[in-house]
Amino acid sequence: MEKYKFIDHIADIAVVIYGNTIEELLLNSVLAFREAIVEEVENSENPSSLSESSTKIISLKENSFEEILVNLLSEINYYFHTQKWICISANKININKKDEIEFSAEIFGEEFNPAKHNLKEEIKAVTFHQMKIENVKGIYSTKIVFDI
Amino acid sequence: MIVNGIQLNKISDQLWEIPKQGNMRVPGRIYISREMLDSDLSNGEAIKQVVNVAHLPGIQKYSLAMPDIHWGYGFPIGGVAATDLNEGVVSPGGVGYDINCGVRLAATSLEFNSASKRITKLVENLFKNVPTGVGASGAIKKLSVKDLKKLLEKGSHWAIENGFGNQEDADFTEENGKLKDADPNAVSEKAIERGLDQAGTLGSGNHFLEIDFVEEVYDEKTASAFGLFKNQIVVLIHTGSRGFGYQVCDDYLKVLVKAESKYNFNLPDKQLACAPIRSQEGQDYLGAMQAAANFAWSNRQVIMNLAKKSFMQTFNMSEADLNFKLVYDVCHNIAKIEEHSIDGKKKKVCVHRKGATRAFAPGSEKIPLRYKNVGQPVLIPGDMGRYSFVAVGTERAMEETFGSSCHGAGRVQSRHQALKNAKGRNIVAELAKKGITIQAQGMKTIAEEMPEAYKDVSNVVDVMHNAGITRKVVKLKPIGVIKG
Repeated sequence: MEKYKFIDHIADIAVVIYGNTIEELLLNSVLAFREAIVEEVENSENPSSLSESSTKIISLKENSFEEILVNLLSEINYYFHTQKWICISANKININKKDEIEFSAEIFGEEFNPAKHNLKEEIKAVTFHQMKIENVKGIYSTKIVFDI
Repeated sequence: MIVNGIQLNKISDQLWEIPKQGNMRVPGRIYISREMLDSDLSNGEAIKQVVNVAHLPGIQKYSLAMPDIHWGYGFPIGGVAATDLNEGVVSPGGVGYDINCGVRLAATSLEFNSASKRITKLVENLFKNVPTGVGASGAIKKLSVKDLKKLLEKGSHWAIENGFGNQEDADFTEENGKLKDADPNAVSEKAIERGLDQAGTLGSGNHFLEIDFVEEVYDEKTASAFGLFKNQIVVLIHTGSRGFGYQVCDDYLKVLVKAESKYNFNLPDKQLACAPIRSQEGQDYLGAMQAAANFAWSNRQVIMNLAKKSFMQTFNMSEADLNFKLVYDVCHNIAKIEEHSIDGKKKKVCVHRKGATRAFAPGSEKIPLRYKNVGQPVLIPGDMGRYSFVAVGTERAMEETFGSSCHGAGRVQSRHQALKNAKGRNIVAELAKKGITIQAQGMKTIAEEMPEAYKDVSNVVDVMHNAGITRKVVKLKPIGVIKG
């Protein structure tokens, strides 16, 4: 199963995310977000390495998984714009469904490094546009549109 | 005709009406030609959004769309809606993420023939002096939180007090460059943090600074009132409130999505999230949105002055000789409290313009004294290879569109498609052949933003001209562009 697939959008960036579980869908959305904003410089000789300081804990409490998804990526986008911090992956995704959905995750990332990263796009916002997390035959999926 | 199951009745060659149906509170009206309707709106998505907006509580007269209508988030781009102050709502989806994204036109004493040889140098200097691109900063040193809050209250006036321009610039800016009810305390810490080092930055994507010359004058009297003449060199600046505004919109969309269950509006699209204007959520959003609008005016004020210095440096001219003057500054993503005539009575309403430009008629108290006899300048940028337009507001705009008109061209190709079409071509050389010098942070932006990726803006402008909403005044031809 592919993790995500970028699809054509006339003005912005659209991507369809997949996952065997909601947790996996959220993890794959982090990977797609990274691909939308940066690409690795070819033949980079200056790879940065992960460190403790490159981990952010994101905790959310929302009414729906769509809100969790939008707000997770919005947080990551905020770190990119204010701390030049780029996400790499996510770990320890915890979801606790009570009256509201409680979510927490460790997001790994690295400092922006022009020797290693080419900036591709400035994402203004992660939108709710056409977002609907669905489960078809055991596979979760949704479309996400990034406003650029 | 029927598009995507929605009935459209022809009112005139430039105007189509969607009759009220289901839970629509008012009919929809789209200013567009039949040709554009067939080519641009055939999938019906944007038309559906006009219908959705007609469901907003307190909406007045019509859910309107200008001829550059295309699919947006919640509202269509090109959407205009006025809501009642007591019973109506305010919606961030009716403003957009880039709050007070707008356009500023400045005129100079230079003429094309004498200046054209120095344009390459001018573009180099502009690119050096005006911060461009993703996350750009540095035009002015990073602000303290206290200074940023002052900027949010004062708008253009903050920039002027800090040496970027003079009082006359504020006089020639919509709302005098400041919305007075801006509330920095309604802005999140996150938005503040994003704004600290972005004052005076152009940004990326479709934002630009462009040098044009006046190629054609359609209306001598109005052009003269605006200080414009044939072959004159002018500067067009398109940018907004940067990351600060995006964060404000994002923050309040979350608040208002949550408020939906409280107010139970039962709207057809989550991105139409809204709150009563008189509610705490509504007032907080309006206060924060106005702060973002002020950020954008200050931003364009700073950039215009960086451009002025680049001109003085390139042409070795004094400020007096250059006669660099702001013609006007308009916002095209905003919600504002304005007085309009509804059912024959003057009434204050909240006018949402999302990808639409204010276009007030002659005589309005809200336009500079110098333009009072002719009307408000309406600035409509096109793509970087063809042309842009200056038009003027009319009484008909006041009667039909809450004093609003179109705002630009809109894309016809996705970025991906544009990149594919640019493969193997040298877009910089193609533009140079047309007499246009460009500098950008990367070739990718240039390819994504190439002229053919956009619709022909003259079709958009002509619909509004023929409908009598705005009249064409001059056509501008680009000769130099910087982009992020």
